[in-house]
Amino acid sequence: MSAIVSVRDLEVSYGNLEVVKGVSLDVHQGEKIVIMGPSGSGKSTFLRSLIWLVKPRRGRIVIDGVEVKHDTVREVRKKVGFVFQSYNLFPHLKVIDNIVLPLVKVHDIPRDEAAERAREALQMVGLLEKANAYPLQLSGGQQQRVAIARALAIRPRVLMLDEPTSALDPELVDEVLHVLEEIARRGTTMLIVTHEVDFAEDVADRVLFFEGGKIVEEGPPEILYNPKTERLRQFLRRLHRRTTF
Amino acid sequence: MALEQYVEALTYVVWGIPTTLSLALLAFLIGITLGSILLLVRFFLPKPLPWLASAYVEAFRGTPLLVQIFIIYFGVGGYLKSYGINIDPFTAGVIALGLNSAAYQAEIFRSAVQAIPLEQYLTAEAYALTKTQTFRHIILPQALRIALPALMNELVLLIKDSSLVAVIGVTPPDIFRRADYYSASKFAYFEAYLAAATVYFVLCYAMIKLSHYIEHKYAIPGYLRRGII
Repeated sequence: MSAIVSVRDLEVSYGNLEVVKGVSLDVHQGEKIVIMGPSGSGKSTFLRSLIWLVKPRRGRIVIDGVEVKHDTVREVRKKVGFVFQSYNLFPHLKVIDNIVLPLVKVHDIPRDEAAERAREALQMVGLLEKANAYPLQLSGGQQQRVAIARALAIRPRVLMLDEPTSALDPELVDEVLHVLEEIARRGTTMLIVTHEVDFAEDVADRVLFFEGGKIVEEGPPEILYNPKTERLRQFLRRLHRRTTF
Repeated sequence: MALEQYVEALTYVVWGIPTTLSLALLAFLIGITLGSILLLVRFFLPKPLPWLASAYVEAFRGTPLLVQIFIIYFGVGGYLKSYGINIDPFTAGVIALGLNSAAYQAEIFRSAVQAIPLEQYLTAEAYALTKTQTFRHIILPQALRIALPALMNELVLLIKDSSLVAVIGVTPPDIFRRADYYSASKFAYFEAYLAAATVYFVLCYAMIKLSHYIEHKYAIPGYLRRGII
């Protein structure tokens, strides 16, 4: 089985600061990958660099059969739905227009059809009645669900989510996780940076633990109960202490 | 000071409103057009063109408006006169005010564009929008809203600064020049200039109110305003 996302020896730096130090990864069609790691471990940068939101210094990325290069990056981005930690909706556009804009302008879908797709996507995240609201009139959890709908509407080959619940109040986290669980069940290939251990256990096919710009441990979600490395054990202990006090 | 004299001065001075408003509005239009061009040059074009745009902005921001008016009317105007081209004070005034305003409006646009979070660009990029599409659909609509109060303020400044054009003898006379005439013929300096101040104030206050109205009308729904009146 060939990989839908294939990364070889990826290195990313901010100036002289090396953030991702040689990461290789194969993600198969339909696989759900959860990426964990302490802050500054390079996990978000890694995810962003896959579609060149941060341009890698070295390495090879192939997504859905297309190698990411200067002249193909736009084509690759059209295949990927990306969800940011801070939702990043366009505040001056109605919820539905946030979803319709990329469909019409980038994917050349007629406006009527785009609106129909947008409504389907909103239905999926349970926010169809908010289609005509503006993003800043919604709660954080609702905004993130709209952002997820925006990503789904382009019918992505891969869905990438960069800490989708980290900016949310604790009581709003669940509504977003439920939506993500639902999407995961439909077989979408997903790469998710998150600290939600329960979610990872339920959804992930594979968990990657990042530290110092490298994958230091990887395996099925069971590694979250039974970590091989001391570093992951420590990380989970701290995470556990934080959530249960 | 006599109240009757003041009222009489007012009725004389108000006839300067058409000239004052024409000066300010025409200059504002030149300013917004040239200011937008300067923004686009800074946003889209390769170096060294953005540097030239910045040099223009700094040159006009760094010298007094009155000096600019004199350079254009007496300097450029005098030079053109030797070729048989006459520039009247009104035209020279509009051009000087407009070129000056363009520099300030370019700065207003620049800071408005820079006020938009980097994440908005990043998101547009992630969704494969081109640079032009990003500017047109994401940046510009938000930047215009951010720029609006400052742009209206610039219009208010132009209304007031247009009084400087009186010194090159603008015709038909503007508010300030009419106040000059009145004070000189009636020896009623206080009444004349107070009448001019009153008329300027009413115009500017109306613009400020209009600005608030437009700001509210086009505000992004849900955007929380600070409680400042």
